Amino acid sequence: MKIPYNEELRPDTGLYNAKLGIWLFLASEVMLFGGLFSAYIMLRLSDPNWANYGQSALNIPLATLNTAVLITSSVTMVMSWISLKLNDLKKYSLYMGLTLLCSFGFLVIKYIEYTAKFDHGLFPSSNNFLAVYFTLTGLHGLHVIGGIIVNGYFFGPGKSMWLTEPERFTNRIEVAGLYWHFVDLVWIFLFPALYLL
Amino acid sequence: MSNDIKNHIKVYRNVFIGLLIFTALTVGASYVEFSLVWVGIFVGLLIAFVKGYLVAANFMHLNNEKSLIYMILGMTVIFFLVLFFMPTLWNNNELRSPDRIPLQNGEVYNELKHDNHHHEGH
Repeated sequence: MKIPYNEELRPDTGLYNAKLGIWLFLASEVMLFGGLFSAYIMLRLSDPNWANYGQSALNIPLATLNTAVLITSSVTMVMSWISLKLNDLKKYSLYMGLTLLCSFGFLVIKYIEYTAKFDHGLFPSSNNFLAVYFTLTGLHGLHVIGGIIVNGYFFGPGKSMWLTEPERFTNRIEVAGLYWHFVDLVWIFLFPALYLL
Repeated sequence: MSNDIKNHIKVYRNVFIGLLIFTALTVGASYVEFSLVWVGIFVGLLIAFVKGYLVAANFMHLNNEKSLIYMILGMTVIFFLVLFFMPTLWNNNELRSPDRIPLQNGEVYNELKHDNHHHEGH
């Protein structure tokens, strides 16, 4: 049995179903990160010791590089989708591969940052700021890993759908892209909130 | 259609450059010593919102999306604001009272208290 509205648009919503689904999911993600951002602001405003927690010891150059890496991955992700729109599977694979490469790069840089903190005896339990820092960046890192799993599937075995249902596959990449851009979006706010301000 | 897509690619490239420039700007601004603390925070958040807009509007195609998605996101904004400001509904004094905050470094707090008493003594 064919699942309806995978390719054709549903008349009442004007969308294919997966797109509505991913936006509802992203709405719930906004609430997840929003609650933690709210907790961050409350802790920061009410903690008289905040200035002593070594927020300034974070590695801004590495985090800036990571921001550029993640932004690049967002661009390559959208390019992989538009390559499918142009019926160019080779280019799709190239851009999706680059997206994955950047995603792994982001995690490697994050790993370097984390180990440097651990080597200095700085753990989530050390103080309020580090608790917030590790919780927010850790949750974001989990989202990056989730994106790698999904994008890795579409880069590898999932690509075979292009041969049978190209339009459905293109939609899948668009939906995966929406998720990936959201992960980028969260980092755009995390970066200044944790490192710069 | 193909021309349309070429335009898209051009927009993506420009947005990419814009995002990199704003990233450099926000890092640069963080090294500026603003005389008022809130100005620095305002500038940082303003740049973050501009970058967020660029990503959402162009990469996520929110500049041209169906109304149902705008409705969902509108509801999300409302619930997000409620969530964000919910803690302020509680008694602020209670929240700010230091003995309710799980301090790791109790010594620093005691020193602060001691300093206060010291000043009061004078």
